[in-house]
Amino acid sequence: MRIEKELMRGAGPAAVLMLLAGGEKYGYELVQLLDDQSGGVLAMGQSTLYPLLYNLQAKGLIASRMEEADNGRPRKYYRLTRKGSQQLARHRKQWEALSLAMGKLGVTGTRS
Amino acid sequence: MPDIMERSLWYKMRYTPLRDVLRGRITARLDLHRLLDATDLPPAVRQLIHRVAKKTRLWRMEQLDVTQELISHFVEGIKSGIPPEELIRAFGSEKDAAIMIRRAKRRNRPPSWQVLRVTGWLTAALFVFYGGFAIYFFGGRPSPRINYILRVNHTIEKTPLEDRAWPIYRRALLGLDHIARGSSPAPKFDIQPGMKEWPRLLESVTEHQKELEWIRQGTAKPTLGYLLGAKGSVHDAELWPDQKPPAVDTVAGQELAVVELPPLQTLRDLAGLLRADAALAREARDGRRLLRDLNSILGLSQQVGENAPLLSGLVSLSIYDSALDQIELTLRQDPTLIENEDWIALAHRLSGPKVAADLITVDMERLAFQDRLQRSFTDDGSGNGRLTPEGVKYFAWVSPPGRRSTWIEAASEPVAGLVVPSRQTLETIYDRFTDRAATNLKLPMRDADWRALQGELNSRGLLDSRRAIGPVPDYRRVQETVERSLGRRDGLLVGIALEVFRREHGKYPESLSDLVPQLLPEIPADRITGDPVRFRIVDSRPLVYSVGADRKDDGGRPARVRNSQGDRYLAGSQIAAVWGAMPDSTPDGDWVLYPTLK
Repeated sequence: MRIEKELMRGAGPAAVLMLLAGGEKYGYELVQLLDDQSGGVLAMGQSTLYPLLYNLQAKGLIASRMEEADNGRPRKYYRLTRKGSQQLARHRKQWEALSLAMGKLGVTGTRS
Repeated sequence: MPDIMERSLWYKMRYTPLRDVLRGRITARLDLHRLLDATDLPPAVRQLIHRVAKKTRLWRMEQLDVTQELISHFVEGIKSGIPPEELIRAFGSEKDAAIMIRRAKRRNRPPSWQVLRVTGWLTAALFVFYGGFAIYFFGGRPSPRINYILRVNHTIEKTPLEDRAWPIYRRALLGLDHIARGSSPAPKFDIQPGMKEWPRLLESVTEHQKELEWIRQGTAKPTLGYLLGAKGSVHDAELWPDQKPPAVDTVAGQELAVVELPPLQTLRDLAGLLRADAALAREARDGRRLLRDLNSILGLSQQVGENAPLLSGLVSLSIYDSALDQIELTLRQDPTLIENEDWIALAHRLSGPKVAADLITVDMERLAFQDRLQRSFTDDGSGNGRLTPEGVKYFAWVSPPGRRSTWIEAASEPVAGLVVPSRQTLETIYDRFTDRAATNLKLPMRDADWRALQGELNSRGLLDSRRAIGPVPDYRRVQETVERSLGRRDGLLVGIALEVFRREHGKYPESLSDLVPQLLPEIPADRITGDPVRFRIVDSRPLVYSVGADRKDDGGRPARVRNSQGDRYLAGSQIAAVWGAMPDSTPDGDWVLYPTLK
């Protein structure tokens, strides 16, 4: 299923921050994880991921470092910053509240 | 792609970061082609990465970073078994990618760059705004509709020719043949007894009795009748052959503020002639001639000051003062030259002006300001308008009038258009200032409230506007000057009454109230306190005085220190004639009103 652009704009950063909460990762790794772990729902155009990462970096939510990969090429790893962790916590609360509310409305799951 | 070693030094320099160059290393590591060629990515992928990096239009270091990241992305993709074509398809729009990467990368630039960027945009916006405003500003043109000189002249022209003094003075001046030609050996007429040229002046006066008689006839006329402007009395080829009429606007005429005034020095010269003749008349004990000369000086003073600009008003006052000198001299040296009834008539004439407004008006300055406004601002038909480039020059906000503006000055002229209030606002401010000054001039100096006006002028809002309306006369000082003359005149009126009383009763009165109402309608008020002026007999001579700025009766002892302003032009007898002096600088002593001459 393809997620609409507006929804993706809110979900993308939260998803990337969540993935980085598990440890530092490089760009293509994130692309794969987004695709695999979201069942393809959050698989974004791969060119979209890098601007998203640069924006998160500009906001100080993630940081990066260069390291040589096995193939001898430089590879850029991204990790969550303290500010990013706090932001992720806020995102999680908001998404939970949103999900609950949507569930109550019957938009998601079963109406309680 | 040829090897980097084969490339020119210039090429390598282009792709080497400055810090590497400074370290003496020509690395060319910013060359994206070189970086991409070093990978084993398929050409289509390399080209895609290169196009995306280039389309971002980022700094070279940033493009290098993006390229490395994308190389890594595609290498990992291919390594994970995805065909390059599939990776290219999954990458999405390269144009959108470049745009988004550019935006995101720029957000990562240092704060100093962000500040510079915002400043740059603001500056550009300011330039665009200023440029637009400059076009609007330079497009503004004043459209003066009122010819104020014609308006002033119209009043003069309503007076029949036979009631105007100037045609008679003109004839006298031609006969005197001195001022008109400006020849150097000509005697100076505006001089005082005791000066080196005085005997020569007396000679000249004796020779020109015919012209002097014309001048006396002229002073008896109700008005000066001097026409202003390009077609006015100043352009008189016979009297002033060197004067050339200026080129003027056919509709609005010449500007009132810069028009030639009546020839004030010439009029002072006429007063000087009459003064010299009065001295001769005293010497010859010719009371009738002396009285005519005294009345003539007073008449001339009145003509010069009538509906006149401030400068003419001050010259009129100086002529009035010279009449007071002559009257006082006569009264002290030989009062019997003039009969009692003539003294009383002369006193009656002298007593005309009561307050400064009787000798000085603000009307011509107001007209001149209105004229300047109409030549400086546009006219929207309702009395309002905006500043024009002509206005900037008129008011000398940027460059002094008569000087061509430099390009910097010209470029800064629209600033005046941004900060100077509208025509209507300026007119309102000027009128408010002038109305309050005029109200003060109608009061005795002791009752005038200049502090409130000064306070308002010094408050920020009006001060800014005051700069905009340009220099305005210091009417407070003008009023002080007039009040000193009027105070002295008050003393002289009492002196005349005392002399007439002495002649009638053989002695001076015990009190000034003995003079009222036969010889004085009332005892003149002390111009500082408002109480009646004081009187004493000292060495068998009367002494009339005001208690002065310290408001303490010192028995007519003149103050010996200078006043707080250090005004060196004050006569010794007038040192105490100050209003509103600070307590620690208040002159100690009295303001002697009569006698004032040594």
